[in-house]
Order: sequence, then C-alpha cells, then structure tokens
Amino acid sequence: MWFRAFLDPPARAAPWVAYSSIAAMPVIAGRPGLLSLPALMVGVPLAVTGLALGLARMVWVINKTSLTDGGPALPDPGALNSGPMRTRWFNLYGYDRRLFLLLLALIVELGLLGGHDAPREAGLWLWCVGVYLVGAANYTRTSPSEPVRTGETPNA
Amino acid sequence: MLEVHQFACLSDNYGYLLHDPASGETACIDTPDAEAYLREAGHKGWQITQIWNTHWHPDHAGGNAAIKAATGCTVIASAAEAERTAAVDRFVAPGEIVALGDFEALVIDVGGHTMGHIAYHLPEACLAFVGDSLFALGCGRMFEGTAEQFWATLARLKTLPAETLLYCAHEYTASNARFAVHADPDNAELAAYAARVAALRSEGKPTVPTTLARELKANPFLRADDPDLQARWGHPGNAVATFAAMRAAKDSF
Repeated sequence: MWFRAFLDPPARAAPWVAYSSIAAMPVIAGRPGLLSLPALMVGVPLAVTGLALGLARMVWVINKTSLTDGGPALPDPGALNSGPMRTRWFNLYGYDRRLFLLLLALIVELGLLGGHDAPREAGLWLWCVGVYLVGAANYTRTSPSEPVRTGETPNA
Repeated sequence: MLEVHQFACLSDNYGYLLHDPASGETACIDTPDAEAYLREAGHKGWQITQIWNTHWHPDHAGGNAAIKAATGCTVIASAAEAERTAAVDRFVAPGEIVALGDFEALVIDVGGHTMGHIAYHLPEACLAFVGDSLFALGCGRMFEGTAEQFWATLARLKTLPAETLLYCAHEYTASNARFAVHADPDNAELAAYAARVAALRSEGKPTVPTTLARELKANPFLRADDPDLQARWGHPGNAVATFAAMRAAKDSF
C-alpha cells in the first residue's frame, strides 16, 4: 500500500508536504530543545518522507508531460520561469490548498509554540504527526476535487 | 457491422452504446448516467458486456459501479487514472487494443482535458470515441494538462483518417461555433458549418458525430498550425502558443 502510494500519480498534496517540511527544518534546527530524541524520531522522518513524496510527484508530473509532448525528461532550470516550462512547473502548484493552509499553520506553530517547556513540545510534535498523517492520507486517498465548471460549456 | 446507439443524458452529455450483432457484445462508452444506459440497452435488447471509460470525471465514469452491478460487465479505463476511476477491471495504456467481438479499438493518448484521458479508435468501423478531448468546433477545457500536451493530442487526432466519425461526449457545438467564428472569422467553411449547426440545433437535432474532415477545415483548435490563424492570434510559426492563446480566450468567452 505504502509503496504503491509512493508511486501514485494522482498525488495532490505531496509538493506541499515537501515544501513545508523543508521550510520547517530551519525552525527545528534553530531550537536546541527540539534536537532531541523525539525530534530525531518524528521530525526528521516527517521532513524526509515529505520530501520524498514531493519528489515522487514532481518526477511523475515532468515525466508524464514529457512522455506525451516529446519534451525533455528533465527541465532546463533556466527555463523554469518562462513560457511552457512555467506552465509545466505550475502544475505542481495547483493542488490541495486546504493542506497547504494546514502546513502553513504548522510552520507558524513551530515558530510560536516551540520552546523548552515539555508539554508544549509534546503538543508541538503531536501536531507534526497529525499534519503528516493528514498529508499522507491526502496523498494516498483523496481524489482531486471536481474542477470548477462554469459557463454554458463547462467542459469545453 | 458495428451499431452505435446515441442518446442524450444528464444536461448535455451524449451516451453511446456500441453493439456488435455478431458476438452480441455491447460496450458503454463512458457512463454519465447508469439509469439511462440500462434503460437504453433494455430498449434495444442489448446486453451490456463492457464499459470503456475515456477519463475519470464523474460525468463520464460516475455510472460504472451501478452498471457493473446490474450487468456484471467488464470495466476498462485509463491506467493513468487508476486511482480516480471506480469499479475498473482492466486498465489500459495508449497503444493497447480493446476488443468488442471481432472489432478492435486502439487506445489513443488524448491527454490535456485530464492528464490520462484516452480515446478509442476503431479503424475498421472508421470511428473514434474521443470523450472530452475534441468537440465539434472546439476542444475540451484544459483542466489538468498543458498546452504542449493538448496540442500534441490534437496533432495525434489529426493523423486519423479524415473520414473518421468523431463521437464527442457533449453537445456544445452551437456555443463552440460562436467562439470559432470569433477566432477565425475569415473561414468560409466554418461559416457554412456554423450555419448548419444553428439549423440543426433549432430543430433540436444533434450535431454529433462529426467527421475529422469537417473539423480539420473549421475547428480553430485543430487549425492552430495554420499560418493565417497563427498570425491572427499573434504567434506566427508557433502552433502551441496559438493553441494556448485560443484556449485561454475560449475559457472566458
């Protein structure tokens, strides 16, 4: 199940799991109290798994697009911000915004609640696990929401 | 000789039942409305044995489970949309063959409306079920793909024999015609086609199926490689950019 989920093309949230995990790492690293056993057991796997999920999704989008349009298997970094490549990479963006907001809240939480107070730290790491579970569940199970259909010919 | 039974369902979908009298097999092309498909098959006296999905959207695959439960049929869908399509027995990829009796359909990649969208081309019967990739005088909204991908899809469809009958999944032609005339106002073939569409719709008649030959002359999205159209849309020599510009304009037309 998990292996399949890792390769699962319809993943939606993985990029945000990855980006937010990366964004959270400096906060984690900047707090000595968090470089503890719980941090190693929960925080690092959280970030690494999120990164892996994000990369899996990223590689899939690029390969899928490349397979169908005959384009390069990997993007030219210099072209990422222009023209068609921007469109291709922009595909990585438009997914589950609810999860994005949750992860944004995680980062804020890390900033505001972090410290050396044990109950607070426990709460913080519970929050991390919760967010990871939401991300993983979203990655493996959630179908994308129906596209917004407007106008007289919503599919055309 | 294959028979195609076409009927309207939901608000503007077309349902298709594809029947091979020799084998007695019948395939539902997509399943927007299970009740309508079961009713129409019953009226025709056909036993549904297969479902061929073109893409995962609920107005195309939403009736899979109910029809399968009622008939025990085999459900075939795009492998690239495996996690998003219900009750599927066989996943297919572009280049694979699906069969209805002795008739074979080639699975074609028509991604762009959705990433894993597929079409079914039956060369012997000279017809293709294109779902929401191509419409009469239009094309599908680009929900998931990119302009390059969608243009590659249209370029692929353009290589089918010109006499191929194209069975699109929605009756959008009148609206598409208004945009097409806006996009390509000097096209005399298009003007005549649009007039025929208006006449048909005023009588409540379907404009689908269409033929590839007709679309090649009049459908602006298939003509994004036409130098005049490219110049008009400000992208000379660039079919992808021309397609993208027209697609974006159509989205808010």
